[in-house]
Amino acid sequence: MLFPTLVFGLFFLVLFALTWAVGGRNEWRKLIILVGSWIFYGAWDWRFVLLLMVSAWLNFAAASLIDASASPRLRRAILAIGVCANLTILIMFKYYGFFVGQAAQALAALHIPADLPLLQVILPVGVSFFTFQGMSYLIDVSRGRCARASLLDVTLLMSFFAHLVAGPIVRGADLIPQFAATPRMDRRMASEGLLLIVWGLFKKTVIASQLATNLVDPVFQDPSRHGALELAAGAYGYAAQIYCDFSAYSDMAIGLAALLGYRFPRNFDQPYRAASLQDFWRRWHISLSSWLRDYLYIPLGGGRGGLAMACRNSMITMLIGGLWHGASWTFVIWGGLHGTVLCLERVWRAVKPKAWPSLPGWVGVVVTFHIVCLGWIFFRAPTFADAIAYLGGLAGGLTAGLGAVPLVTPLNAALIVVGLAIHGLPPRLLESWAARVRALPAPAVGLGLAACILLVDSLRPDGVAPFIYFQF
Amino acid sequence: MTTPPAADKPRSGVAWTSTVIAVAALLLLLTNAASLKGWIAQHPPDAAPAEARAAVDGWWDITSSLGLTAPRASVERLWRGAQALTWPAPPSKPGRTQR
Repeated sequence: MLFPTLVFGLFFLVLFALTWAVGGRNEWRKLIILVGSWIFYGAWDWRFVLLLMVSAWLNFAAASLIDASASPRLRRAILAIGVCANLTILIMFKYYGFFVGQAAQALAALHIPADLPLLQVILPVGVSFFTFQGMSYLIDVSRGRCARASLLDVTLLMSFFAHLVAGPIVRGADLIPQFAATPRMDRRMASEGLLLIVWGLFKKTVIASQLATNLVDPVFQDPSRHGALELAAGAYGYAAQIYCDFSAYSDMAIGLAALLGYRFPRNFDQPYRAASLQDFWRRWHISLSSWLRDYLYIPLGGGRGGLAMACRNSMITMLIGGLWHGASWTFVIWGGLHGTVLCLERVWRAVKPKAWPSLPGWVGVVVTFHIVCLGWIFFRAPTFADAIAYLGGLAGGLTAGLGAVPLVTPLNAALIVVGLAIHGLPPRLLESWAARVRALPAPAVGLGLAACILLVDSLRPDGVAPFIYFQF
Repeated sequence: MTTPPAADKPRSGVAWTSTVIAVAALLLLLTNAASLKGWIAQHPPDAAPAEARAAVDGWWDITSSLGLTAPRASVERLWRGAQALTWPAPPSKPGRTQR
């Protein structure tokens, strides 16, 4: 069940009506959302719901044991077992085939006969998101940042349909306190939620879908058939597409949760405005980058221990962050590229003489954007060889001629510009629009909402491709 | 002590949002029958009963005859035109004859 579909629209209308109809009976409202979330997730495969239940109940049991234990050693041991259990789920479903395949290749290269057990494992949608969420809940309980929650609250925390399949990774410390009281909704929250949903619909179904179908997919499918200009447009197009796709999902998730009375944290903050890669990671997929910072980078030592240690920790964090996205070397290389540039930035800040002038901000933005685009080529290409072929075509084409550009139509070019120009809008523009919308009478807002949805629906292609981050 | 404006009262938020959604849903039902038609067409014949198809087609005919589907059709035409746009061909170099 995808957000920008009629079926989901009807599903949400029913859920919205039921949750607000039960009034102040908070436990009933949470049960309704939980059952709705299982129906939503079960639309992919009912077996996934069982996995989700097992995962949630496992985290509930581990957190209860941690909370009940007085001995710090015992708490640490239970935490370690709980984290390992979450990682086992993730590895079994997401990385088993990759690791076994790599091991088999390595053994074959060494002429060692091995018959490793290969399994065809279906990748449950959103497994990376809910396992990370489960781990953060356990760690927060053990650190005292989050109170142990009831079985219903933990299960809902991990199953809430709005963030379940592609984030944001909402931590227990953010959401569980909200579950404690009956949510209230004011016009400000509702108008922000409605605007986020419409804005997300536009970004996903108009910009991302058009660019994916008519430019990015054909160019990445066979880079050798395209000239340098088309390859460059494909890379810029993918930068616009992945932002419009992923941020659209986050916007809609935040908006849908707001209409049910819950607040999710912001997940994107105009990332292509970043003037450095460090700045980029404060703006892109904020819930993941802050998760990696709090539960991996800082426990590894963070910036303590000198420059070399800080660089090592950044590199490990980014490599694992890359692997989190998928079981493929292209994601590891993507993470490695980001880790390397983060280290270079750190070294440059440490060694740069104070007397030297700083570069203008816009130079940093342009350079950072192009490093990010370079990373996106590895991220999008099916294999490492495809990424190298893409880069080869880009470099070789620039010397041999730009080539014909049938895919770079005026519309595709305009959508790339729009997708990137979004980053030039004033920060927090949507919030200021929401403040105006909430003062309007409901029928007028309903009319405007219908007009916006009708417009977006008229521009969208038939059918909707799944969101890019569903595969993670 | 000041009382919050009506726009900020929690219960008024639910009532206001419900009205917004109801008005939008009603208007979309009237003006966006093409979406319903497209949705039902995506289903194989055994998944969508003939009665449902007939009802959707009938609804589309009614709204279409009232001119309610015209805004969507106009936007779709404009969008298809934008999709078909190409860059102007470069002018042919002087002295060359076109075959």
